[in-house]
Amino acid sequence: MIDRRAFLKSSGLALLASGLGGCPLFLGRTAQASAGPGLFQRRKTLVCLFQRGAMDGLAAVQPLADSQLQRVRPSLTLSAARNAETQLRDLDGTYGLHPALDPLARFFDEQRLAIVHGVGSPVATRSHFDAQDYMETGTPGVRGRSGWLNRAVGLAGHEATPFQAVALTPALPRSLFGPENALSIAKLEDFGLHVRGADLAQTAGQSLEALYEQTTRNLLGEDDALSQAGREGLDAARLLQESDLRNYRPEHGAEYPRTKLGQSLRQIAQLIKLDVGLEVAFAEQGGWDTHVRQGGPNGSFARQARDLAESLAAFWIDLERHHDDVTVMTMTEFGRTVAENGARGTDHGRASAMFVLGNGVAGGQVHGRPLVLDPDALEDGRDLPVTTDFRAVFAGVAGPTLGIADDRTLFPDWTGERMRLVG
Amino acid sequence: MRVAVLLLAFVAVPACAQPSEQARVPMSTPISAPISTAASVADLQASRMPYVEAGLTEHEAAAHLLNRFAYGPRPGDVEDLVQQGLDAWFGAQLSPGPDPSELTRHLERFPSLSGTPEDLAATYRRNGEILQEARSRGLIGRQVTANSEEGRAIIEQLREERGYRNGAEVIRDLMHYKLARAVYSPYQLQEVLTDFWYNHFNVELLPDVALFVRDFEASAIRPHVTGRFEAMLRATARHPAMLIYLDNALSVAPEGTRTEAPRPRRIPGGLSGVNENYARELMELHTLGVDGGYAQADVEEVARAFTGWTVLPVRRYQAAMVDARGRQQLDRLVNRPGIVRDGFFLYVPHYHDAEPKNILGERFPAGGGIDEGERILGMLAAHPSTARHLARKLAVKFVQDDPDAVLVERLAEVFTATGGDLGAMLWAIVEAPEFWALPSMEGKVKTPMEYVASALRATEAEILRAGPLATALRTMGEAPYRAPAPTGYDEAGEAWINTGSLLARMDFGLRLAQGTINGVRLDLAALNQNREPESAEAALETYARLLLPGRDLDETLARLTPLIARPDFAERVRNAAPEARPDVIDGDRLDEPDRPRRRSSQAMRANDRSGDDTLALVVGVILGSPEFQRQ
Repeated sequence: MIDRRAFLKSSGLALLASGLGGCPLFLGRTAQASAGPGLFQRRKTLVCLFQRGAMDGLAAVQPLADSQLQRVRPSLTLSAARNAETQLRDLDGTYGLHPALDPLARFFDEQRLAIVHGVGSPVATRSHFDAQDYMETGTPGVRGRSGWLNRAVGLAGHEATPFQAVALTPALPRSLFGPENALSIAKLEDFGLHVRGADLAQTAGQSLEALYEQTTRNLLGEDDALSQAGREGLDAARLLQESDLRNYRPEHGAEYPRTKLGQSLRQIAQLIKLDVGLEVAFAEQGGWDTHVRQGGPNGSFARQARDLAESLAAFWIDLERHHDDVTVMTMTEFGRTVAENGARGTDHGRASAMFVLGNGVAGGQVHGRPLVLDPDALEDGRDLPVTTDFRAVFAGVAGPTLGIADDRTLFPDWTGERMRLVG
Repeated sequence: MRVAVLLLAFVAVPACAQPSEQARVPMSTPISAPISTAASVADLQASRMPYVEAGLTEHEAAAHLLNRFAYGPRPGDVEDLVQQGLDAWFGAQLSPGPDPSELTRHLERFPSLSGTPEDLAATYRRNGEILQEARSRGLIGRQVTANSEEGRAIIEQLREERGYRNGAEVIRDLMHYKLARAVYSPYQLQEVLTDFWYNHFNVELLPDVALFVRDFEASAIRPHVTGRFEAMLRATARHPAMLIYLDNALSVAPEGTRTEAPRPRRIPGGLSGVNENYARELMELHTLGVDGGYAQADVEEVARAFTGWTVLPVRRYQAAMVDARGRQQLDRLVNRPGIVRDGFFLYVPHYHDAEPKNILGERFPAGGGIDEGERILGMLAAHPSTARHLARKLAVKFVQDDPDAVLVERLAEVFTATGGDLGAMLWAIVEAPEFWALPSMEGKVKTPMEYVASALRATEAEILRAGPLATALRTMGEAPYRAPAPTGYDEAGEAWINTGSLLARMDFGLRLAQGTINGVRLDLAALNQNREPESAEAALETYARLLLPGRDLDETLARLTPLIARPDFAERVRNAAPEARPDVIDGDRLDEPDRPRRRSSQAMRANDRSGDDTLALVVGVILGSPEFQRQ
């Protein structure tokens, strides 16, 4: 594997040494000219959205006219009818989409959006922390391994670049933790060193680079994680200086919500268009832990759902030129109780639903086993049982998108089969 | 105009920052030999800390203590600690006194920090809350919004009449509370531990708990951090911040269940079921640990035992201050028979599940009332799984990210043998050879909070406004009081060693040293008693040793010297004309107080720009260096 730093230096971007901090514009232009298309081999991008707090899959994609559901969820169940603002959007005669998710309905109609229902983990923990941990490592019941997306980056086997795997989060999520290069950036524009004067900026950059070349500290003789992360940070900062990030204009009239998720997706779109070799992007959205007053067409669930749908729709519209190369997948740690609780909310449950969006996606369908909501069919008498292992979905999406064949390395200890979701 | 010439105005004593070995030996030690031999042997007899066996000098040991049990050394701290004696210092840190008057005076500038939750509830209002009050007093109609002219007028009128302050100040003041205490408190260990235990019992700073967060830290956490775990556990369990954050305030016996007192006919919306959140986190996070040997059935039973542990609604309390009707309503609520009230904590018997319970193999007979919860807290605090869980967390915090199982077991034994004495566990850590061994000495990376606080301490920076620092911490991934899950922030380095967060740290170091972080003032020359080094090279060596005492800096210096000593360096400094300065990067404006803005760079001397810029660059690079990231 080519060393990524040697790669950068050979690319001509090393010219941008003084770009740390006050980057002279002419240097940026020079580098752009020399950096043209083909600098990075064309790759597909997998965008993962983690809905933290556990999305209520039964509220997002509801079985239509289910009397059992109406009985145990009096304040949450909606009916399917013409008014898309307040009622379910009938997807296939069996399921209806929550009205706040309506911006996604057209993608379902265009057969680009697939829904998988009844997805979850074989380990029945109802702890957010454990369930997120297991889902992000892809090893239910086992702790402390690398993140599944980090392994995916390794299995894709392409030459490493600083922006191969990027999380638009302040801290690297567990999904991306591991030996492969991964970067977390809270905000692209602020990514870099702020030093007055281009010459001093250059000296600062060179000095820090020299310091982070130290690799001697690790007792096991491995490359020291601190040094490696520091060097990659400096390289990546230099690379971003070439683009005019602040004045980014989304295409085709796409309007991203001014939410954390909306802004994350906007920046992922920028990175994709910059063609810097992005293969795995990660964003997250909190606030799905709707224990209290979850609400119907409005309320705390609807607010989250609207943000998700509007952000995702804007992203898809903005990226029209790249539709063949981008796949989006949502995930959430578990579902919620079938019955609503005393606070008109729902508690931690088991299975939930996931969304997959892309041109190659087997869209326009709700995948997974049909939901049965009789009390006898529920897990522990209260929760939607898991009928699809989340790893079948992850492998079914990441495998074809990133060109990964080895599911046994992607998900150690898993013997299941991929779900056919991406052709 | 070479740097050296510019700096000649000052007495150049490059060696002044490194007193001779003899000079660093404590006055009381009557020897002149290198301290690693005779002095250490003398110390060995006195010290409970086996650092000599690990091959460390007393200075290195003192620096290690300051890096782990304080937010890093300020210039001179290592020498002072050696002077005081390692054991004496540690003992004193374990028995913190009241805040010194300078810190108290500093914090008094932020009014919300000296108020009880009752005071805060009386004083701080968001606009929406004022509007609601105006509506309920019939001063405006239901349809009036905060944006309408009438709405704005009534808000202004009530703010004036009743002296209401802006609710956002509470959050701004908290940022100051966190950073000023971490940087300035002489009881450093108390602050490090308070951060650790707050994180253990994490309550995220969300609007509904904002009034309670400082009190939660100040009354439920800080008084207990070197005392008994059980006392802290009990204090957190009753604290409104915890009861609200983990939803126990909403948890009531389900309809049809026998309760301790007859239910009222009308129950407020949202209060008709058991909420398991607190019960689960109590066992998983606060005590037993996720593998601590409890089942989902235990979670459900514990949740039932805590039904009726709730919070006096802040709105009710506020209404009682407004008029007689509000007072009567409050009296009716709290004077019901069987109600237990302690500040905002309420135990409400008619919401408490009175049925018998079976918890962790023990039988709880019917009608146990509030004592059931207290009994559970006692059981959990004394449980061997709790001992192991806390022992491991403390070992990860203070020794290494992947602590030795033998060490964890030893600490757990101390916990059990002493009835959960946290001070005894901390002594056991510094007495452990593992604490002084190489994997510990080199194995931990600072969290962002530790990094920022240690950089401010190392440079003796003055915090005028903490908002921009809180913003920097957020960029690094550790916004104060904002860990987004009951689990709190990660302690282990793997969560923090990532390219973006590290680059943010390098940027912070450079901006801090340049004086471009708003609200922070520092004087780099004063760190070295205004004796300016005679060259950039000398500045590097002097300041590296000032900022990183007790460390092996050979490699850092060897790598930096050629770059700093380059002949064209002075020219580069000169080229950095003032107009090339970037704008000061602002913090989150919401967090800013309304005092006049001031560019902290103005505080730097106006003349002598090149010397300042050299120093700023050198210090900035040191603060951004890998060595400064290590703890």
